[in-house]
Amino acid sequence: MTEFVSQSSLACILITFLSYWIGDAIHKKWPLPVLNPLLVAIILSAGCIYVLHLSPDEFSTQNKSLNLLLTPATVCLALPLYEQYQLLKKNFRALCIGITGGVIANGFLIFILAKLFHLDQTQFITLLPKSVTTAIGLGISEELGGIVPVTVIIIAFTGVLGNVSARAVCRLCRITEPLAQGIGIGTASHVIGTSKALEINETAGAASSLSIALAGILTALFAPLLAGLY
Amino acid sequence: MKYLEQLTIILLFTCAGDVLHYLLPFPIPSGIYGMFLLFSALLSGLVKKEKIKQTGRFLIAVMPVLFVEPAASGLLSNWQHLRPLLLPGSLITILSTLFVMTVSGRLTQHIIMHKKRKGDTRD
Repeated sequence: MTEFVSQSSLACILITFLSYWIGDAIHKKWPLPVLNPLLVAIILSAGCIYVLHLSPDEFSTQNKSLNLLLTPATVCLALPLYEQYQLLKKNFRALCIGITGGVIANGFLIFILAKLFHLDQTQFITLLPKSVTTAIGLGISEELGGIVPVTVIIIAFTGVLGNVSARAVCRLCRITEPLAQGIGIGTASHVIGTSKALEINETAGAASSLSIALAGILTALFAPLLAGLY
Repeated sequence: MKYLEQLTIILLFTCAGDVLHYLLPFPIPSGIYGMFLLFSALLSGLVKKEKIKQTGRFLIAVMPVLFVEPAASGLLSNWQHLRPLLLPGSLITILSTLFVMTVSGRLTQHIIMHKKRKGDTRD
């Protein structure tokens, strides 16, 4: 069984699909934020890898063809961006200030907390790009000397966390303006958060898509400065 | 054929993004380049929205599924590097993510509301 599954791309992709499908079904039945489909799917597929004694690397290799879709899917975020262009343009200054504020707040908060927990510079750098999309974050971590695979996990964790908590944070902090919701979600939790913003509504999704790009670029510029200070 | 045509156009922009990523020295991923290229093409009218709409929406809709495997296998294969960071890393991640979401969201909302109140139509 283990041997068959580890050799079969289709079987591995099926595990991924089934996990998400079950996660989605559970979420439909009990719509609690903790029972987020993505979170449940990650736990279920990690459980499958463990129970079937698959090697995580093999599972990852067999899922390559599926993950090939990630870049084209990111490119397609141009669609909500285009559809909401007038609205984004009208509020462009507010959106830019919101994103910049978020990036700076993120950097300094991680800086202070890392000092408080006595993390070394490598660990600090590993955590620093946590809120940007994987491809940019990976580059930042690598360039400044972080532990790249750990950065990747922390980025995914941040995304899932943003995805799970988005609605609650917006409600608790009374962020009601869709554009502002999108900026908050996108700046804090990149693409994974954006998929939640798109569920909330189109405007939030577009603002969130814009945040992925801008927050990513700003973090790439800001991170070397903070790493030098640490 | 409609879907094939749409997917071809999307892949064309993805590849163009890849080329830019290869040529330019910035640490910006090809997906972001591709996104801006497609966005410019839509704005300029080079590509009509209808030419990519259904396939584009499908890809955006399935996006969360694409995050399952990297997170699951990453979690299992990097456990030994992750363990020393587990407690401080989780705390820092949770605190800073919620904080940033609040700061960015409130800041943006504040400026938008302020502008609306002033009845300012300029920007």
